[in-house]
Amino acid sequence: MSNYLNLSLDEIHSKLVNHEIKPLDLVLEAFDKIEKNKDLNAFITLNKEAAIEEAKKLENVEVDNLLFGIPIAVKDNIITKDLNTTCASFMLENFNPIYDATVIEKIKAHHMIIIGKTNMDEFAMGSTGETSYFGNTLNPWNKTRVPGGSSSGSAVAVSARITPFALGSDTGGSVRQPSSFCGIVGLKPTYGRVSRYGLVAFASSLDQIGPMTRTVYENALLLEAISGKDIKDYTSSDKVVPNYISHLEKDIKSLKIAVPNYYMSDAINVEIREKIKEIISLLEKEGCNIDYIDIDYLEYAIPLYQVIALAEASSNLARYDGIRYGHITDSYTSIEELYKKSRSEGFGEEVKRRIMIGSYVLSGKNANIYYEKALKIRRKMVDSFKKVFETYDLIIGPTNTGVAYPLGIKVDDALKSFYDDLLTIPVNMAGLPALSLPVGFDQEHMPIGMQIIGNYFKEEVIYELASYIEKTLNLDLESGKQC
Amino acid sequence: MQGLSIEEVIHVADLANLTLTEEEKKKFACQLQDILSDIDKIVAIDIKEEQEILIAPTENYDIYHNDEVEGGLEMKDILKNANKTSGDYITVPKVLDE
Amino acid sequence: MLVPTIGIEVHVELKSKGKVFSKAENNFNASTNTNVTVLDLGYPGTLPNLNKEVVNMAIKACLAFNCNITRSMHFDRKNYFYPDLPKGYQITQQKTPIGTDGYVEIDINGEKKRIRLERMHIEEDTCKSIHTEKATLLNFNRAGVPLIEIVSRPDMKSAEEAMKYVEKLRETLLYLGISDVKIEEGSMRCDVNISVAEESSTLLGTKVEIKNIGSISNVGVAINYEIKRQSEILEKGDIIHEETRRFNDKTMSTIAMRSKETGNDYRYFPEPDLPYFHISDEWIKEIEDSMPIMPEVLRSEYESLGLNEKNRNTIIASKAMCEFFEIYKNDMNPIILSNLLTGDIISIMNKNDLDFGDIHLTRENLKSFVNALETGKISSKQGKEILPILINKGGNFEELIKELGCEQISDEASLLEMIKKIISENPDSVEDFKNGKDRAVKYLMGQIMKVSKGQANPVLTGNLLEKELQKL
Repeated sequence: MSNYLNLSLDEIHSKLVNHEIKPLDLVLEAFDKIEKNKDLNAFITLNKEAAIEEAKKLENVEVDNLLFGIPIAVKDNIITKDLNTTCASFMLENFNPIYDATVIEKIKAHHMIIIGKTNMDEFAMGSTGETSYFGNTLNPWNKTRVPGGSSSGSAVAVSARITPFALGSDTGGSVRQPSSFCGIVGLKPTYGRVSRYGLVAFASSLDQIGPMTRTVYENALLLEAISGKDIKDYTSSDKVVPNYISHLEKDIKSLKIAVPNYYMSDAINVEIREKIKEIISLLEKEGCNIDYIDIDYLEYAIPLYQVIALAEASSNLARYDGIRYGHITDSYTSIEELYKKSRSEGFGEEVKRRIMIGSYVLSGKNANIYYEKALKIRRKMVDSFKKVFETYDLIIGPTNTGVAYPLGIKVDDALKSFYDDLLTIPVNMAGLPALSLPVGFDQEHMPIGMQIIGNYFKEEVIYELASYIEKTLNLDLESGKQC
Repeated sequence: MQGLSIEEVIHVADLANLTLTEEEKKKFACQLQDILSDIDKIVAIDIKEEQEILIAPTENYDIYHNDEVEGGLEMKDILKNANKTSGDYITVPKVLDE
Repeated sequence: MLVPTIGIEVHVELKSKGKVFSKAENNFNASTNTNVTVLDLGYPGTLPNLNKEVVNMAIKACLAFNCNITRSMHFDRKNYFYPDLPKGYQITQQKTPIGTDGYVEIDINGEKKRIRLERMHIEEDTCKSIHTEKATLLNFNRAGVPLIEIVSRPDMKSAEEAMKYVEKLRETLLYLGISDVKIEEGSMRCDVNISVAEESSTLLGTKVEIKNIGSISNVGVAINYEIKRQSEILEKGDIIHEETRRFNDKTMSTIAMRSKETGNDYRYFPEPDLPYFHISDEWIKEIEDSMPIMPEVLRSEYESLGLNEKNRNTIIASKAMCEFFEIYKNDMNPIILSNLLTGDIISIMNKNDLDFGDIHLTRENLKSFVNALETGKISSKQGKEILPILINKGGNFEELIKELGCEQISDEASLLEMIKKIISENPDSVEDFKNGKDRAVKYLMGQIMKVSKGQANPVLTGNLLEKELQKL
């Protein structure tokens, strides 16, 4: 079997330009790798026929950009026309959309080739990949461990070098946490940087689609390709999309960096803290200015998330009723029965629990006691982040409190998935951009991720630092070798 | 906060338009309680009544589209994923009291 | 004594070209499910946009109804499950309605009464449901059609006041040109809240909501029915339950509707998909400058022109008639014009199924026609012959009457000749006249008209005939 997909993007690109290989070679290799790694269960739906057809079509098209002809995996909550989009839910098992998400239009315009739709936690609710109706996904670094979630399949596809690129979505950490668990680079862009049109909504004020890649350079390329104003998404920004890769080689000496004390507390696994401290000294040696600071309201991020994200989710998931699309129950005598049975059969436990909580916090007086209050605290939290960025260019810390843990241990813990996102949720609350970068391994050789949080629409500064660290550490991050 | 009663669980299930099995009711009563205890932390936070809310972290405002019309979907697309249809309509069981 | 307290919520469909949050066409007459986008269908991943024209229209309505205009707004989601609601929530304005604290004035027994408006907000309409024997059919053309909801304070005390209030809203919205306001077709829908309590009581009675009232007159019928029903319950010493009832236009009564399990727990929260929007002084000024003349201004102007009340109301009730009248009222006798317009013109148009755009009346021929009627150059009977031709075919008035030979004879010498001849031929009638019998004059007039083939100027002929008879 060929192994072009393990080459760097620039190498693949020059082979395409020189006609040494064709897009079809890459596509067939990706499907071979999926077959070989079937046990990982990274994909829900494969786009084999259409991908092959598209690859053949590209043989007659000029290679016009670095992403041309490159296979990409897409999280299954991003709408793809004529390609099933299930959100890993029985509810949408046979849902075949009639339009493309804006990000899909953009990657198609770059002539990237969609290989398939990746496994995930049902409706992006979960942090292990285990709430999927289609079974859990395995971590390629250790197949007894969770890959993280909710963008589990996307992280695994990149980590196992099935595709160099994947799209995920991040509502509370769903790109960064699995990226960290699987040793890849994952970015949650600034809220509004990437259009949400066609992303199946979980929590509208928190959701962002993000690039998941092997390297910082590739991440920057994919972000640039999917970013920009979309008139269909009124929350998307018209700020100019920078040429991100031009920032990668910049000098980091003058950067002022904050480390929140909260991110280095005892709640964080000690091996991870040690690793982050190593990186901090490395950066200090390079001339970065690093301070430990306190950020107000950080400790309320989880309850805020439970109120805001679940309230929005309860409303966003109200549309699944078995009428216009989605699962419908076999027998019913009234509309009420049709609704309740279809929804109860269609949704898994995590989803039910979350939309019940969401309905509760909006119900009657609770709307004031919980929801309105949460929106006020959210504003305060944003203000305290803004204050930090008056002085600092970046905030760094761990992505997660721990490394990937064994499958199955926390399935019945209703709080676990929230606490997994302890360090990632504040970023979504504030709408800031943040990237998870692999910075090493624990004693059992499970990847450790570092989180780099930037100011609004300053993804290029994140990339600047991440690129330096990546280059300096020069880690071997090919999980496929263990397989 | 007191533990969630089965009645309260049934009520929130109703709000979410779900029916629960007996087993689920018991299980959710505990699990929902865990989450709600967490949520109660924000009730204790001291915030000024007039504190401005934040709906979504966007600086966008005053965005409109002009009063223009674009063609609608084709009928086959409208009906494509629908479960029950009749002619050009999507249908549901008879609803009384509109 | 038991007295009612009435408040009304009115939903009005705005007639923008596109829907409020999508670019599907807003067209009541389109075939089933042809004006539907992925958003209107509530597809996952879709996001709402905002049609600026809908905001323009809502500002117009705010100005016409004297509302305070909210300067910074967001939308909210109203969450409930119903098959006609594709997303499982309706986008509306709960927290920040575009208009607050307005009023309209109605005439009650010659006095002006002010009905206060609590709020006006923008929201989206639901699917149209068609109920058949076995199933409910969903037409998504209406899903996402822009609505404004106008909520009054409970300021009305009778069915008459309520009907006048709704009529006033309808007429004003019609003149603003922002809605078809056809209650029968559902582009204007009224929900009435009514409670009954002892007049002396400071507390209001229990509120009952009546839905599905399909005409202004049925607003009155429903209210009177409900006043009677509630009063009878109270008089028996029973309690009225807070409920929603539906008006049945076959039985002309109200029937309790099934109450939903979750009650009215709509779980409102701010819509995160649509950012804040603001209305500036400049924007309001721009709308103010483009406001059409309002009906109450027209009504007093028409009164000073001398139009009778019936004509005033008929013309103002129809925007098309009013536009027609406005074009010509300064060029000819407005009273004759108003009589023609509300009488013969509209009945000829109805008979031939014509719109104002189809008819061939021009400034010239209409002006000549009205002047001829005013000066007696033609009789009203002749007018009735000529008008259908002018409407259907048009042409030059003077030529037409010549062609028809129905120009009046107003030449005194010719008329006298005819009169003398008739008098001499009818000695019996002359005798009757002398004996004081009035019908003799009428008979003689009739004979003259017959001889002149109806062309004799009736006024002039009458005067001359009288004089001649007096001479005898």
